[in-house]
Amino acid sequence: MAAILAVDDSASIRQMVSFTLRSAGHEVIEAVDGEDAVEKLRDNTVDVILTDQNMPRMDGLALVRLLRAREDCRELPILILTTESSDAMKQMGREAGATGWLVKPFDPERLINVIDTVMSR
Amino acid sequence: MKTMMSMYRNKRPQPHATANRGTTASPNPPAGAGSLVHAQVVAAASDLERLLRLLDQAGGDLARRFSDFDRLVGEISREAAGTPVARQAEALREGLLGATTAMQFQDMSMQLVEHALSELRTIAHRLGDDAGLREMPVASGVPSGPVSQSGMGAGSIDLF
Repeated sequence: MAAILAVDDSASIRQMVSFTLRSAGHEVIEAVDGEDAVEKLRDNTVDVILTDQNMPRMDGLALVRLLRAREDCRELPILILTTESSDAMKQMGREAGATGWLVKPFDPERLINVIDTVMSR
Repeated sequence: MKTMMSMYRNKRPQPHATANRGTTASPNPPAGAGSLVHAQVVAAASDLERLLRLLDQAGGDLARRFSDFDRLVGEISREAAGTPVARQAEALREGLLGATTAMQFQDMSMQLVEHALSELRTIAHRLGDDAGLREMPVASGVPSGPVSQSGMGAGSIDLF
């Protein structure tokens, strides 16, 4: 079982992600944007972060860059889950230090498999 | 309580500086032929605003019922543990899990509608300004929105 921080400003997407990951036995902590995610990380230790890209206040790429600059988050798997599917955006994600780029809508079984994969790396 | 609609405001990057002025109506409606086009653009934007509200309400209601159903199935699973009813409840949960891909329609469709709406607002305001009208870009120059998918099949996965 892993502790996963799910970051998305869409309540319905957070609900779908939480339902999917909890059904696989994972614990899910929710955050509404990048700034909220940083707040949640002050009080919680997580194994994986799954974040949207386009959000108010702090977007997914900014969150990845901020966390990669921190010693305690350098190796933390961070997956971007977004509607953005262009190669240019994926390249920006790679350069920022994201672990992977998942395009919405997600398939629940594949999402669970990806979490298992990045956890076992 | 913060509504889902309000959560979507200013969510996506706007392609034009004039795209997010809050209302569709232009401060200086044009005269003549331009006024008809302006009225049509405002009407189309108004329809999209209503669609956005409908999607927000329907999506929010579906999400709440999804959550209630999930909680109920969980309670049945626990209370009927070890019985055939518990196995049926788990089968129900599996069915619910299968619906999660389609349930993401609200997020994607609202982003698309918001993008189209912001483009219409820009056009409406430019139609109200002769100088702006002459400077309007051709359609092919309009940046695409943040959603490029045309179906609800699962998206791609790239691990770096």
